[in-house]
Amino acid sequence: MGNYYIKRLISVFFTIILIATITFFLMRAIPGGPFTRERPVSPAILENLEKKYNLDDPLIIQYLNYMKGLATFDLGPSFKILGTTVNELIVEGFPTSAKIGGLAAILIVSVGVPIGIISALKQNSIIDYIVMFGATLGVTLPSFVLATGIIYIFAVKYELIPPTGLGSWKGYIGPVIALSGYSLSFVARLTRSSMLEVLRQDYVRTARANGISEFKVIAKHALKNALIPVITYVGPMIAAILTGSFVIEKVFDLPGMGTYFVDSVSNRDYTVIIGMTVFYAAFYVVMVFLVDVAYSLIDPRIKLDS
Amino acid sequence: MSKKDFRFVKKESNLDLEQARVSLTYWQDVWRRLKKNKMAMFGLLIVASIVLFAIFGPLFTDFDYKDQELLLRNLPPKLEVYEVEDNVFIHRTEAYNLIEFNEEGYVVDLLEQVTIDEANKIYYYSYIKEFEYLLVEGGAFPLPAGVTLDAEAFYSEVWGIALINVLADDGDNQVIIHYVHPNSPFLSGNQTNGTVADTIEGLVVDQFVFTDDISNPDLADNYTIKSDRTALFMILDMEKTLPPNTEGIRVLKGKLSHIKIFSEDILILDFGLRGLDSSEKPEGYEDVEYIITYKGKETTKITDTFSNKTYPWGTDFLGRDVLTRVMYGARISLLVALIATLVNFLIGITYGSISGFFGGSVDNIMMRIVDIINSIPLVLYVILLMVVLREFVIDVEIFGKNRVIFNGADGFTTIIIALGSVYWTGMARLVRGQVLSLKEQEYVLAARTIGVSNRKIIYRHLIPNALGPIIVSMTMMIPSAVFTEAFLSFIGIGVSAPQASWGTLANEALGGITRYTYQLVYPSLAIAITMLGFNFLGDGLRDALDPRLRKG
Repeated sequence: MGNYYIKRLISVFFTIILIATITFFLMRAIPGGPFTRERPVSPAILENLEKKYNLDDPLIIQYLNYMKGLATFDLGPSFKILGTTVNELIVEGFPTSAKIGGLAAILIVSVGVPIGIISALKQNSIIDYIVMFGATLGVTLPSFVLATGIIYIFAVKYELIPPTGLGSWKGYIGPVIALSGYSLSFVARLTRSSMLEVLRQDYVRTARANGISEFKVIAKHALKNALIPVITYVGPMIAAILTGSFVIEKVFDLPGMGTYFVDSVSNRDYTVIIGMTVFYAAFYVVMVFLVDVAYSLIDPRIKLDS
Repeated sequence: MSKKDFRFVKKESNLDLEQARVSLTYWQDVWRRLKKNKMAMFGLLIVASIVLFAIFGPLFTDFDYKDQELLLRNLPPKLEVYEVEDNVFIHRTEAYNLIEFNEEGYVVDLLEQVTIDEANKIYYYSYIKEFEYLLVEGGAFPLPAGVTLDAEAFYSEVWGIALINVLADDGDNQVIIHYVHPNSPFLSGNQTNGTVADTIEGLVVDQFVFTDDISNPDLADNYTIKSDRTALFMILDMEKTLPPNTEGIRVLKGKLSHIKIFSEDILILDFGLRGLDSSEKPEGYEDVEYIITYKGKETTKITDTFSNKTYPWGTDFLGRDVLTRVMYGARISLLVALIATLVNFLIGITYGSISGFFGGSVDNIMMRIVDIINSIPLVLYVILLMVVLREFVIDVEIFGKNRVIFNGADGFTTIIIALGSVYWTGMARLVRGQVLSLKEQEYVLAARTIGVSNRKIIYRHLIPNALGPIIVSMTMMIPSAVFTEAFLSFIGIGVSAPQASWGTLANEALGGITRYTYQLVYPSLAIAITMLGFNFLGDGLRDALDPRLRKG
């Protein structure tokens, strides 16, 4: 078992290196660099700039230098935002994204799973139909539509929440709901269908036949198995929403990671792009790893060694 | 028992035991099950109507997706109008443009600001007579003997028209028609976009007293041309549009549309009362904000609200018809989704079937590659690819000419490539799993024994049998491609303007969400309905293709 975790950790490590490598060379393959302007910069200035950021070294040296920096968690300076390092940008943007994302993740799990369970237990009742209708709607509405809808109805028409910014606690309501809308609906649907499947299993019937209370049957026996597909989905999802949603940040005008990423892509700010991609990917890979660990805790039958 | 106890049964009676039901093939059975599923049929109906909407919708509209009319920008679907004269309805836009509608709700005419009295908040408007000429033949119209033009006038011998710059009262430069040659094509050309008369001739005579005195240089006052260009440049511009053509000279449509002629009926919009407390307003105007005066009659209240017939879904920030844009957007969004899905399908099916069929170390390596790709957040890579591809222009020299075979700046191809090259891994895994189990079946063994090649086994035996789950996955892939495309366009790296997908439309509408909500509502609804339709259809197909999977 321990052996497996070590193997997985090593592969996590290699995946991150691989992602950094692919991104690095992909970015360098683009014609035009961070110093390409509408008005061409004079060759002398360009040369100095490239010298300053070591862009005149051979590509392989640049790559090795970058990797060296990465090993010490130094993601390098931003080419476009003067005097700022990528680390600073992440430190600046991540808390905003993480706050919204964290709240959204809590909302998704604490609301999505219970309503999925209730809907499965009351299958074909009014509650079930309402939940399923809402969840289908939530899955089909793109996040930007949901976000702009929330702004229009709650911020503009009824002025219950501020349209942009995170000044007060009310400011969080819009982004969190918009961010969690899709995943919440998805989790509810997933929980419902997997719960329905588990409830039909023989061991649940046996447990009931043994006279165990209904609550215990659901909470102790059925739920554990029903949650496995949910965890598979929730793990990577948390990584995705913690690191910021471009759309939500754009619509609600929040200074999060997503905004920096999109800006850096259009600015061709190499180091920021690679840095943020690596940060995001690392987060993602680690979450997938944690999901695997969670599997073995929930369901001892899943043997990770094999 | 004797033999007598038995009797022969008639042979025909065996027929009763036969099944009465017609035997169905697998796909017929799937169709039968699908037809029973109401939600799936509803989804199919939605998908079919959206596709029809995308294909045939643009044929029924008078507009093109890039037609813009700045004066008509941000017109809502529901109009508030002032009736300034019997059956003359005037709508005031947010930008203080006035537009005349008829009682049915069609745009009749635009009024343009002619004078602005900023201090007293009074704007003066007039009807614009704007002309475009089609197939007007120019020629040689030398200045007739005896006519002397002002020294500052510019005369075009091709068109027989002289323009001159004058200084308007407000100090702006104005161009006026100084002289028109009696045979000038301006007097006979067919007018294609005007409102008063069918031909320029009739218009000129009726509206501007342009009679026998046609060669009289004094008529300048009636021919003010509103243009930000000077007379010389207008003349040069007009002459530049003439291609060397043996059949005569044509003016390209739109080239002369800069010429605007104002009519003499002035409409006055006084909004000096706006923002004042009712106590400060003069008696009788307590709850009035705008006073419109036309032909001496004052109108102070919004008289009516009706639906906009010319632009049923309103216009956007550049005065383009939202309905038309949503229809063209449907074409782009659906086409991108369809092609990207097909590309994913082809790559995924080939990759997955090879991996599953050959198994062993081939499978191991191929699946590790998929794992690695999967561990990369794909949206980031689509974004990166979009940006990378946008910079690429591939031109190849064919027959001595440079031909551009790929231009990344055209967002349409770029987005298809980006979406198509990244999302195939799910399909590959699915096909691999199917092939892994199918290849152990007896019919594959039978095929092998009679010496069928590997390729044929894959394409003839394995893939057709795995088609069910593949089709379901494709139906689900289309809405997610629509979704991703909309997302990319929404963050500003989708198809390039003036092309528009639903995502671009939503993105463009975002700035005006508070005032012009309708611009956002229609494309968003279109996206949501499409997603809903495909999701219902996909769920139904899954149940129909494999009844064992049915949930609930």
